[in-house]
Amino acid sequence: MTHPYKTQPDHAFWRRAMFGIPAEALDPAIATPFCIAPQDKVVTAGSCFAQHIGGMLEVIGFTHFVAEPAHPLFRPEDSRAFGYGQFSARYGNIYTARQLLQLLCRAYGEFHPAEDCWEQDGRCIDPFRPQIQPGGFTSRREFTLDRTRHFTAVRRLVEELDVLVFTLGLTEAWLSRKDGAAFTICPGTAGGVFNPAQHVFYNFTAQEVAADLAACIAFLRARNPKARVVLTVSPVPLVATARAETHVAAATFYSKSALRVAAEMVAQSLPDVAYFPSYEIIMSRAFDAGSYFAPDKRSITNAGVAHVMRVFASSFAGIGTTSLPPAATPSEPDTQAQIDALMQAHCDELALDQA
Amino acid sequence: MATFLCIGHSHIGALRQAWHQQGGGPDAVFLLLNEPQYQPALHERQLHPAILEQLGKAALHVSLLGGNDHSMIGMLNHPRRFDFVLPEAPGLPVDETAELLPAGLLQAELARRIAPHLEVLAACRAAVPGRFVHVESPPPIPAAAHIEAHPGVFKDLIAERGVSPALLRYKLWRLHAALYQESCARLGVEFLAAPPEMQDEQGMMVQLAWNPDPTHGNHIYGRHVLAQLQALA
Repeated sequence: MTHPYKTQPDHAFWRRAMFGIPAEALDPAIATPFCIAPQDKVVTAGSCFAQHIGGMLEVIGFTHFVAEPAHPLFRPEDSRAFGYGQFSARYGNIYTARQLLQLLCRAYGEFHPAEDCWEQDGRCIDPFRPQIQPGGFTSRREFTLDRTRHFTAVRRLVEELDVLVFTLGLTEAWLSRKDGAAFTICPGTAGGVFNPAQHVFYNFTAQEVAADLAACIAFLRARNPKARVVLTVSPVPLVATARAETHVAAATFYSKSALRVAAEMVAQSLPDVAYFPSYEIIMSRAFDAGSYFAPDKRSITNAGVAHVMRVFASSFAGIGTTSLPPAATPSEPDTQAQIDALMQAHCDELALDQA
Repeated sequence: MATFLCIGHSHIGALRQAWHQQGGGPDAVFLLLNEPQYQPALHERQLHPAILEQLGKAALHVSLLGGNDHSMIGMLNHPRRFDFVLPEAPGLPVDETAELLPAGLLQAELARRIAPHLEVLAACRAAVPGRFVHVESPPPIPAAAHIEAHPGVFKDLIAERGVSPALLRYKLWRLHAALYQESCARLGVEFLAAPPEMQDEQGMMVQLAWNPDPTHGNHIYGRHVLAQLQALA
């Protein structure tokens, strides 16, 4: 007697695909609808887990397309504190699909949120990227000029990218009651003043997330028909839930489940949209002794990121990480060191000449 | 006891030249930390003994520590040209064709660069009672032609990159000065701003004060700073 499971491949069976194989060999990305070539421009956006993906892309030999790169004058750690080197542009974490959709609309002048700058103590904070500028912008003019540049960079990404990798992070969000603007984080936590008359909590459903994702992709392809999209779900749990009646673990599992469903719905219904199971890779070991979660049970370990990287490389480019080229290193520090040394000599020369 | 003890780096040169031109004498002592006998100025948070033995022997202690870190960042055109909005004067023009860098990031970079000088300043401040003054570094020389004519050790790099716009150099000087001013307030050191008569309408150094090099004031500039110090003493 035959039945459909008789002809299923090994990866369809839990015992064969999950039990008895080394945990680090798990590869749940079976068939991707497209490949990514080394020269394809890959854009990253999303929640904090997406920051790992950006760094990973360069290591595994893909082109991480960055429209707002860090300036070589600065140390990488300082640039990073100012939102450079995290994603393809300086938009900071984008936790919800609604935020991404509104960013696209704002960059093209199609949405102008009423609450678009938090001014306090002479500083300006961008409500939609409140953590990219420690201490805030030093003046309204700096804020305005920077945002204009930022939107130009976002438009460039939209129009030139080959692949967008978007990592969904949350369903919970804080919205403006006035116009529905989705804030990155709750007003009052990293700038601004929380006002229940102006700000409302909202927890998106899977259907709403799917609709927002579909709208993002439609917006993108209207300006760049060749755009391919990879959706992932961040495995990083919620730092806190706004639902007082719900445990943070339950809120996390709801949120990730809804995002996972939304990603599946969109990947199944739109062409050239892939779902990449980084969430599954990390969660597969969530409760193992060799968990990919750090001791805080929230952060992802380097081993977890490396596992995701291996599977991404083999899924989209068919390459193993052992043969990957090293990431390029900028040569600028040498030139700046030369200037520093010359300035020292210049000052010594003058001082000692006149001694 | 001397009237002044000036401790610092190359910007001391202008004051010392002016002092000698005024007849010199033991009323002013100049400690040039570029000289090997004072290095390292600070070791395990302790001032070099050669510095320490000089402190406390003057009515007024004067710092000219550091003062060129802003030039290291911005005297030459960068291959990735940049500009920024100066926090204290956000209305100043910004080169819209250059990369716009966050002022806060430039502040962080400058703060990192001047930190060793501030450590020496803090140690000096702690070592002596009484008034301690820090002299603001001179404003930038606005004329690229002067810098190109007197490039010194920067000859090859200036030929390769060119001198950066005067306004950018001015803004970096202001950012640098603001960091020193904040630190001085914290350390209990008076901050002495550049002599206004040595600045043109844009705040840059007047031509008669230019030393024949890219960044320093000459003896005339030094004379005006000495006059400021004499008024304080």
